[in-house]
Amino acid sequence: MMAYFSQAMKSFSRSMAYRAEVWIQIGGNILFLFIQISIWKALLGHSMTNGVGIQEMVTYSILNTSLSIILMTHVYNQVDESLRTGGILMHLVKPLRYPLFLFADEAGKNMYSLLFELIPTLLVGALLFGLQPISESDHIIPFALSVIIAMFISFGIGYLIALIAFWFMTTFALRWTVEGLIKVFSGSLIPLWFFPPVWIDVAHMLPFKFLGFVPAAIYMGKMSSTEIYENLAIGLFWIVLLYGLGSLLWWKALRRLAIQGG
Amino acid sequence: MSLPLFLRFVLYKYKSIMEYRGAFLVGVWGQGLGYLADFVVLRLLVQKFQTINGWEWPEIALLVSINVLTYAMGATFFYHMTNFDSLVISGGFDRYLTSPLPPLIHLCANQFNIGYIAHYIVAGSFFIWSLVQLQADWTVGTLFFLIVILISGGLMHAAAFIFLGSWAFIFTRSRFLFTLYGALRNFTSYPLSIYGFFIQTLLTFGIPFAFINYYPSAVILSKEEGIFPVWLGFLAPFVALVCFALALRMWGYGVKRYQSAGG
Repeated sequence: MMAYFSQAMKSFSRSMAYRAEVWIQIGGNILFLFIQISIWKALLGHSMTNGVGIQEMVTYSILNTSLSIILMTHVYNQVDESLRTGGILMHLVKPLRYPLFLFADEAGKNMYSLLFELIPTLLVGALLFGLQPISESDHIIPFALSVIIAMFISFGIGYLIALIAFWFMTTFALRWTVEGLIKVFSGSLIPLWFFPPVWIDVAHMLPFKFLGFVPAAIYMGKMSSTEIYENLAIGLFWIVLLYGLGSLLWWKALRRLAIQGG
Repeated sequence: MSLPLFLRFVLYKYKSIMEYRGAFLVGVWGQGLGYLADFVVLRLLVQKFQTINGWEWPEIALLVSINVLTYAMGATFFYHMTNFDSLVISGGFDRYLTSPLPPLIHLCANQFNIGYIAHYIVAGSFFIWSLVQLQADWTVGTLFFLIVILISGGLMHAAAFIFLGSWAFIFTRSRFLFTLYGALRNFTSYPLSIYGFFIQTLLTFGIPFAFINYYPSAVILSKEEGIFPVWLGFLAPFVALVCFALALRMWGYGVKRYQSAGG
């Protein structure tokens, strides 16, 4: 257990080495937010659509942009690198479980991103554009839970993509495709309320909505209590499913490596 | 460098990539789907709100596809500029100085990037589709203008890449500039008129990215909006040439400085 924790700390320290550049990332986030908000201003004007006005969309955009900073989908980059250099063998030899090791490593990076990128982006965004407070204090815990679910689901998806590399040596195509799906169905650019009917149904069947839409909707009080519990439960289901698939694929990947004399 | 020689470089690139044809094609597919997502998001937005500041879906599609196409054109020749600082540090640039070809042209030939096929296919399709949808009174003049626009847009992106490379050459790799370039490209994915005075001025007179796709599109679509007159679109080729010339100037200065420093 300590080994994983210390890996997280190591990865945190490694990220700290780049902290001088963090203002560039924050600046980039703010510019991105600014563009989003300009679009919503042009689309909504001073009126409301589906009970949502410009101030709501500003809050929605800030929440989504902030949340994306601590998603763990990019774990596949690490595995790609490790496979390519052969460094992965070193990990397999150690008495550590590689998936947990990966998670610990990502968690360390996330801790860094949370402190040095997310909080400043959130603060600057709130100051510049105006962030609404959480709709009800009752929603704080569900909101926090949904954020944690988002992190786990994003890790699960990234991990599955990474495992594909064991067979195809590259995650390039799958990565682009999944990132495209996330762009559309996470709701990070367009909330699901604005989707056409069939698209809403599809979006609710996919796990991507948890990566932006669900936490934001809970925060903004756009979900009834029933809907909140439903979504949290479905979120947990996705985590179990992704974890199960991940374990299965990992086992298969190990066998494949062994067969290839790795 | 003669054109046949340049094409030969390109052919070798193509051949080496085609050795892994399967992987390459799958990659193109995947990337294509990823880019398709950008268009899907815009489509959903316009479907819900009918227009973005008066721009309907085919018009938005035109705007974005010009942005992506011209970016792909510039990147095909000049994407290597984003890693140029590593080349300099590793000393790899020196052999370009000792060859009989001008270093920049040699770099382009050697580092020609054929990986932008997905961009061309997706953006190209939307470009053609939107033009068909828009059914304006297309004349030979309009078509000629469109081709000129694409080339001048490509030149502007090329100028941006060369600028990034030269900067890395003279100073150090600037992640700030790179992020800024990405942000500006994002800005110009939407009609300039949605932004306030500052951004409109910046993108017209400061870093004139609005001349890549916005003003030319506004001219073609006969838009009347924004702070600055839409006929600026006709100036796009001149703006592009000036930017490209300035970028080449900076590059030349960088090379001279590097050589005189005993590089």
